Amino acid sequence: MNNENIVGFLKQKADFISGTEMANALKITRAAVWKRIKHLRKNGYTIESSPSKGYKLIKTPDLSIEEIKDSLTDTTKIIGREIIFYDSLVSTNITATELAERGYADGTVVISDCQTGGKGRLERKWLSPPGKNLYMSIILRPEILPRNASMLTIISAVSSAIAIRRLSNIHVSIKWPNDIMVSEKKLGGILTEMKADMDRLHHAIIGIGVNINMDISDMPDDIKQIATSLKNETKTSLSRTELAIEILKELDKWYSILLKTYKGKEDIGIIIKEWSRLSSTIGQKVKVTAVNKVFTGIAEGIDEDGYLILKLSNNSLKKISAGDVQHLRRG
Amino acid sequence: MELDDLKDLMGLLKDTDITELQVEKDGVKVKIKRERFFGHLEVHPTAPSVKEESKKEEVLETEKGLFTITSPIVGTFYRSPSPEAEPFVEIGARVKKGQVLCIIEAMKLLNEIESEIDGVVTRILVENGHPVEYGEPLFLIEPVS
Repeated sequence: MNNENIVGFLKQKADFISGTEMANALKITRAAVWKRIKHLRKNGYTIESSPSKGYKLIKTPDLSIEEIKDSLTDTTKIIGREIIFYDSLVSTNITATELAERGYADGTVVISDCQTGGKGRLERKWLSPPGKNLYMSIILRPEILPRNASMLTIISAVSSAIAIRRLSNIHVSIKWPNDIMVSEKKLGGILTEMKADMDRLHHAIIGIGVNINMDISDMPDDIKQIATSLKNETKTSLSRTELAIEILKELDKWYSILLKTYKGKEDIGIIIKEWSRLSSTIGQKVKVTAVNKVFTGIAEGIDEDGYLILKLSNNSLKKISAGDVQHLRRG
Repeated sequence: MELDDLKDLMGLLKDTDITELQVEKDGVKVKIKRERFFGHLEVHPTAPSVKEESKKEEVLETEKGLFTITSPIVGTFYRSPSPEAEPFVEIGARVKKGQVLCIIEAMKLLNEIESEIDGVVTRILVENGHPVEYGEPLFLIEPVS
């Protein structure tokens, strides 16, 4: 049973709509309509009801899975065909991994209102209070070799940056490989984890976290210096629902393009070009901190696997697969 | 063998009268030849056939009866989930099939490498934080039944 259509009806009308009208249109009983209204109320919708006039939508929740599902139904091919919502999780990536191991399909999305153990690269903590930000993970099962999987990181950064720019008008940029930045402050991060052996990628989990309505005062002191939120940049609150929809729609588009490149039907250059357009790293003097080494050089670009090409001071080129990038000056 | 190693080798040759040098390290053979009069260096990496053909099987049984766990991607090798954390396994550790041995990271894509068999870790072939190539051996595991 779904509640999407009911929300659609309620949204169309600024005024009351009768239960009978909805029941007839949806070919369900009035009791079923009532059951769905009850379900929506439980999920944060404020719906006024009057015995003579019917139902009226007063307020939609800031994070509405019903609306996300509704928006994606006719628009995405793979991403978001199934969306699972939780009030609280340790980490959406952990839950998505468990679901992937239980066989959940390509494109399944896990969203949580908050995370008690949100994490980034090398198990760094990701601040995840309830009611403020977006935390979601997407299960992907592309039929590709694990060694070709690094582009999944690139397309998730591209999708997130495009969606945030479109919705907020904030000029976010990508710091290699996939941090979403406003100037030099971090707005969002993406962590991809995969299970693979030599010849097969079992699944990849794309974890996306975006700071939306978190105030700077909500952040601990060490985070304040390096992080920001959309609310802090725009001075207005943004809808978590709408941002989730936009990111998932874009991801569906870029994932389809990526799958086509593996079949030789699309040029990988399209993705590289888009990433480069959105990136603030290319052309910059950067410092890359890897585990045992630090490299300084000019970021020349990314290769077709998405690896960073660094031009060192002796003009030789160094390929970087992992590390923390610091922009040394604006290009 | 890394690019830096090659550079070191080439630097070494530069100020000598040696015109040809062949080195083998970790199964990779490199031959460096120098034309004395033109003063430039030619590098002919001769990759061993094992690496070239990168067998489909991740786990290869070696002569000694040890299993080799290899890297499915190009990336950076981590022995622990975070710099502060304990390594997933040490030499001599008894591991179960499916147990995580290490993480390979490529561009924030973290790949947990699991043991394919029950056994004992007899060798760890890569240092923490070092880059690994596709198909590069990471661990030797002695099977137990």
